[in-house]
Amino acid sequence: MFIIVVGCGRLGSSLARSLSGAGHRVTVVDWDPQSFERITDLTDVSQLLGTGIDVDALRQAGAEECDALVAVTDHDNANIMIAQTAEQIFKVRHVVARVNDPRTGPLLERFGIRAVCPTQLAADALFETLQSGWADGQPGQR
Amino acid sequence: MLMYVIVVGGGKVGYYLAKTLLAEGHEVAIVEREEKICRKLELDLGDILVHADGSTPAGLELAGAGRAQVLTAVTGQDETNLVTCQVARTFFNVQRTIGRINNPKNETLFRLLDAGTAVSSTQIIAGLIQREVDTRHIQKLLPLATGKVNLFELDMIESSPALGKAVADLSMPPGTLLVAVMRAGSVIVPDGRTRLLKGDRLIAVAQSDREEELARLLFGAEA
Repeated sequence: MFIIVVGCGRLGSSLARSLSGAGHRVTVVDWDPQSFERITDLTDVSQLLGTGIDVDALRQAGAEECDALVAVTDHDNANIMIAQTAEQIFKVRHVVARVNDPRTGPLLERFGIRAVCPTQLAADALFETLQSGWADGQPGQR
Repeated sequence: MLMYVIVVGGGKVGYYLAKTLLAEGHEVAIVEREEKICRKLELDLGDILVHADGSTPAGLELAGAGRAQVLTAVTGQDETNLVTCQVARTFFNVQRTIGRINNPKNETLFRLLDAGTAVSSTQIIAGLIQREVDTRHIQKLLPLATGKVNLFELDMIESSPALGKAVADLSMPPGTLLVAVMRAGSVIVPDGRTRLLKGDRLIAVAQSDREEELARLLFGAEA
């Protein structure tokens, strides 16, 4: 598959690494040239300098022909906007956004955006870990 | 009519916008995320600051968006302004939403996502510059109904085939209307008998698919 990853921070770069490792064709978009230092070893991954909230940048990245687009910049609103652009303008089939604020839930549902909330995932995982610790009679895992 | 207007974003645009609206007697609230900015604006504008994230349903709830006639999102971020307008419309049914954008291309997205009107200062300035350098004798002044109809300014030149004719004899294309003639410092609202003279500046309304016809009528091949 051809996948566009918008945002080359810690999450975006890790995702690009996994996707590329799994054999997918990947293009990463970020406005900060320094962010690409995280993926200098990924020679198969294309880099595009530009902001994801710009239709021209997304088009240049290949949004018209990509199979999937993931919006993982560090701004929730930017990710929400990028996801809507990908769906409405470029008709990308698989679109996922990262949102940090768990309270965006109802909004995403209304707008029909598929999203992953790392904060919520981490909170759930920490909760589970603590609970399993209690079950063992210990205050968490060591 | 006095309205309740919510201004999201307490930067320079938000501040002066709120000040202007208040002076006209409207009820105004500014929604601003940074507490420091809220405190600072409060000293000048009084108790109209809402310290909240205006791009969230919770933030707009706090500002009483349910009873707002107008919401305008004027932060420096296009994405925040877009989402704010969307939230205002979908969650609070605010009828009129206006978003400030930096990238003129985001206007398409506003329309596509039914987020309301997008105002691009970039576009306005670029348009004004374009008018200065445009050598055509027809200028677009203002788009109405998101560009379905436009207001035009046209200069009567020597070579115009319409020169000296009365409006009634012009056979204006359907979907166009001559609304004013500016001549020697005064404005004439034309009727069928008004004759068009050299140096006249005409104001016309035209549907976007009739612009070319109007230009041809008034300027012939030179349009």
